[in-house]
Amino acid sequence: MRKAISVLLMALMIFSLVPAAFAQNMIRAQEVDGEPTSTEPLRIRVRTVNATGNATPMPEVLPTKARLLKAREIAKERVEQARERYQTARQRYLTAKERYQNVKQKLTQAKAALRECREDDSEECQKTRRQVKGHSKEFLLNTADRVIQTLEKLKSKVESNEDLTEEEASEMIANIDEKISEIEDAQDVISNLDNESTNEEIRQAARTINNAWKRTRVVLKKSVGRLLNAKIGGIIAKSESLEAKLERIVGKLEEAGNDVTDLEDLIAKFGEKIDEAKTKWQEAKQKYVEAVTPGKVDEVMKEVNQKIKEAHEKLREAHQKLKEIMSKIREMKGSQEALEEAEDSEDEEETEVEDNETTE
Amino acid sequence: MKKMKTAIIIALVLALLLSGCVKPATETEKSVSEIESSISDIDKELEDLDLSELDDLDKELAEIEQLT
Repeated sequence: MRKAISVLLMALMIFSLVPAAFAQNMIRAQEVDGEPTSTEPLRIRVRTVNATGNATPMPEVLPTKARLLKAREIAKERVEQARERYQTARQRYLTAKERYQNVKQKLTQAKAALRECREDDSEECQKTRRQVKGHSKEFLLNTADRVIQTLEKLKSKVESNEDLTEEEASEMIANIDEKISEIEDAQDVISNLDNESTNEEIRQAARTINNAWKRTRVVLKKSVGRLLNAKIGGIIAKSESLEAKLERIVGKLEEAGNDVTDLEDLIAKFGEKIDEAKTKWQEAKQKYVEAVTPGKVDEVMKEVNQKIKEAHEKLREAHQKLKEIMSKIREMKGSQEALEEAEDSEDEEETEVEDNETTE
Repeated sequence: MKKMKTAIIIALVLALLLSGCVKPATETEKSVSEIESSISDIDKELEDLDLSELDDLDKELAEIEQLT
């Protein structure tokens, strides 16, 4: 009998954990996929890109708040494909980097040997000169490959970013593709070099890739900044939407008889942090306009990156406040009801907005 | 053996009843998790798209020009 009771208690404990585990998984699954669960209808639609890459126009009438949250929606399958392309490019980049480091070492050694060969036309020195040409070619090819794979990595990140609008993403991808072609053309020039190539031909090939790189660097740095800033913008939009929701929750909690003074104070601080992040984000956006010329890009992008980092930091601080807010809400009586009712009212508000827009 | 089976069945029934009492995460809680995950994503993106390794590229290419 005692054994049966023990088994009963153990089984009870294990089974009781099952629903709790599922409740957690619902959040985690969304964190990983970025996909809505079946209980959360998709509200944010500007354009949908299906698995084959065709963009379909979205309904004209959209909930006002929803327009702010995501710039576009991309089919899960396409996001996966972009992630796979990123991994391939990353792997190729690492291989090119390893080869580049090897050849760089060989070049350093050859450089020292070459210094000894000034005005020396011995067989040994002729061999050294041929080796330098061979290593130079290998170095230039690996350099081109590293740049191409960096561009490919960036391209895949743009393809899977839902915070960029379809137009922004297309423009960025077109610019990246143009630079990939430019570097590939330079790579063709390098491939034609051999041990018999003249010094001038090698210098010309190095100049070709260097010029292509200078133009590419502008596109690379600008696109990375733009991509990160779009992500920051997405978080700001989500946070602002959440702030409005939290205010509704406070209202419900107050109605339930809770003292919400501290909670209101925390929400105000959360809002301030979001505003500060937004200011930095907008400043970064304005800076892009200046980053168009190769001479200025490094300086401007340094400032842009600084603004992005500051905005990111403000968002981190806002998130800390958010955690305190959620923990305070959970301590209050009627918190579960308040959380659920706030969402019901949000759905109602959105339906009203949709109705009004349809009428207009 | 029979007692054990009965105990498991009772536990199962109780667990099913209890599952009705455990509330799934609300939309607000999901939004909080989503924001947290997006903030961490920025760190990953910064790492994935780090261009500092290419900073000296033009200098290295200029060296090749001089080398030959």
